[in-house]
Amino acid sequence: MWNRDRIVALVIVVMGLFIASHSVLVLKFGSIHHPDSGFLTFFVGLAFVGLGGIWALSAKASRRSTGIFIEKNRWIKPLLALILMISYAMAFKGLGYITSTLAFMVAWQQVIERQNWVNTLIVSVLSAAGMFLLFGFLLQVPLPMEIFSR
Amino acid sequence: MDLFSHLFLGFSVALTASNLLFGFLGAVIGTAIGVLPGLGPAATIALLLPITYWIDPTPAIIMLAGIYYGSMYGGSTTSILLNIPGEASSVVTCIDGFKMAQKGRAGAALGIAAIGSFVAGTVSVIGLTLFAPPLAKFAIKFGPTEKFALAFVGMLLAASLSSGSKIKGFIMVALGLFLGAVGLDPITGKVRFTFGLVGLQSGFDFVTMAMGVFGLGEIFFNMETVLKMEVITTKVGKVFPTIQDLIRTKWAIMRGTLIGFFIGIIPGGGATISSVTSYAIEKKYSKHPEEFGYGAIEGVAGPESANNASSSSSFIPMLTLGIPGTAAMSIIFTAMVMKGVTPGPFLATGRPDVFWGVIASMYIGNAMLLILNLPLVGLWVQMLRVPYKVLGPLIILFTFVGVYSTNNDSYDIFAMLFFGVLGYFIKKFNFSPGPLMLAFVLGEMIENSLRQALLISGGDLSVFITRPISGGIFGFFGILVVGQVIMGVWRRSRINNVTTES
Repeated sequence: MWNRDRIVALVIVVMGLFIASHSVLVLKFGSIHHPDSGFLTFFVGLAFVGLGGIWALSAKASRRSTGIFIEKNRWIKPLLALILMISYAMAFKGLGYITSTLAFMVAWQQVIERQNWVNTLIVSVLSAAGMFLLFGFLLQVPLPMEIFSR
Repeated sequence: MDLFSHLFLGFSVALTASNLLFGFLGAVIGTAIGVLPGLGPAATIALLLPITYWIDPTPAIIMLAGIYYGSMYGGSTTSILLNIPGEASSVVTCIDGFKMAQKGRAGAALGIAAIGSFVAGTVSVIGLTLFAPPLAKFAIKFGPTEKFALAFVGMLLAASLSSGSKIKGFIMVALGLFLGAVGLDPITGKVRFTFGLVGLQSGFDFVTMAMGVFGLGEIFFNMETVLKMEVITTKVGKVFPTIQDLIRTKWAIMRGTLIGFFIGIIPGGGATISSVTSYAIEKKYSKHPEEFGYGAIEGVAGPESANNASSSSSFIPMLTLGIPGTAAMSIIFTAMVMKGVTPGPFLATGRPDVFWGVIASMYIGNAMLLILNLPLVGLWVQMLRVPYKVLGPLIILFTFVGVYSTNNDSYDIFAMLFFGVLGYFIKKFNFSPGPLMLAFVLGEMIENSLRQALLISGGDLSVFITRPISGGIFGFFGILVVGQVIMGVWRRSRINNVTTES
């Protein structure tokens, strides 16, 4: 029976097979007298295969984790958060610290936290200013310049 | 006399204005994050790593150490007042601490937790002072065989003692070793598992990984749950326990101190196992076991003493052997290496100012924490009213700017996001990130020591058993494994017997 644990265990086994074969074929195992680059990683790959296999078998035996792979709706918020963070990371250097940070904080407060606009603006401005004070001013970190001031 | 002169040096370092300030900052931040559920000491230390770039080594390490043992003090506050553990090590404190608060004895519970923590922390630092130097002298004799044995067994112990299943702990170890191998092989210079990405040739950065796994991973995971907090509305009142409370808990505090001290030394031991073990022992040996679960003060005193004792003793293997035993220790280990201070046998002789300065700062830090936690408990309770809606995005902002500041490169932010997703799945599938971080930190030492040992011995594997120190380490591990198997078989046969009888 395919449950969540067995699927993840299978992924680990496949990953282990890849690591072990790559270690031997590409990196070279060497010998016990003269270990090469793939020596330790080969055994790491074997460990993944062995441990993943044991986990898959014990998951089947216990039947405890038979829940659906992705619980309905619980992943939506983390996914939205990830999308916002990726956008922030892409804009950070391109748009500059202040613009990207304010945009991110406003989007976060509205989309994730569902705050009203007053709280959104207060939290966004204070957070961006606080981080600038700490990193830009106190620690003298060269934060990305604004796009319109270049 | 040598010891006193070293301690005098340590106090002369720790009592400078800047070191006192950073020690105080560490204690305050540690208490704060201990109070706030959702953010642990490992995550906070990881988040603050970029800040330490601009600070000298000694105050930086004093601050990070203060955060670690400070969080043990703070964790009891939410356990007692909210029935929500501020830290994993304060879980058992919820059981009797919250019950005491419901009976109007919140002040006594908070007070005994702080006093127990202070006594245990101080005694544990004395133990650190006495044990660390001779252990460091002994460790100077270690060659590659011994280093491999110690690091490898330490890592396996940490995996087997981590929360969740042992299989998952070992999988995390394997993952940590793999991630540590990505990049250039330090011996042959070959590129490993970079898949053509130039940015990966220097390998993964520990700071990025730690901030991603602990910081962002925690945020992603916390978004799935809603913490419902019901603050105890009765006044906390006096936070000093009565004389009867102190008499009643004196042995619980002493036992908790010893349990925490010795468990803390073992890699993977840590504060959580110490506090759980202490609770179990107090319940077993109590004159009033029926009170446990309903507000037994020993159920607060013992575990809180144990977790603080272990937080100090866990510095012993890290400072003297260069083997961090917990996730937080591995992050502090990395911070020290980043500052050009190598933890291990030569730290006490090579950098006595750092070694003894950190130890002396712990004596001072424990005293500061007692003062911070007793009269200021009302202030910490107010902190709990800061909504996570504000705290969560602040943490994200802090991680983004912090990780960017390490190399002024957006690549690090994307790498951190990758590890944030990994951290989310680690928590989601009930893995523990501690063994992952430990294996990542120790991976290079393990690989280099193993290859050197095999080169020197001409490929003779028996050298790991025939050399007395490494043989002793592997023998000890073997006895533990056999002991666990026997215990498991015995428990199963007892269960079968009980089932048959019923």
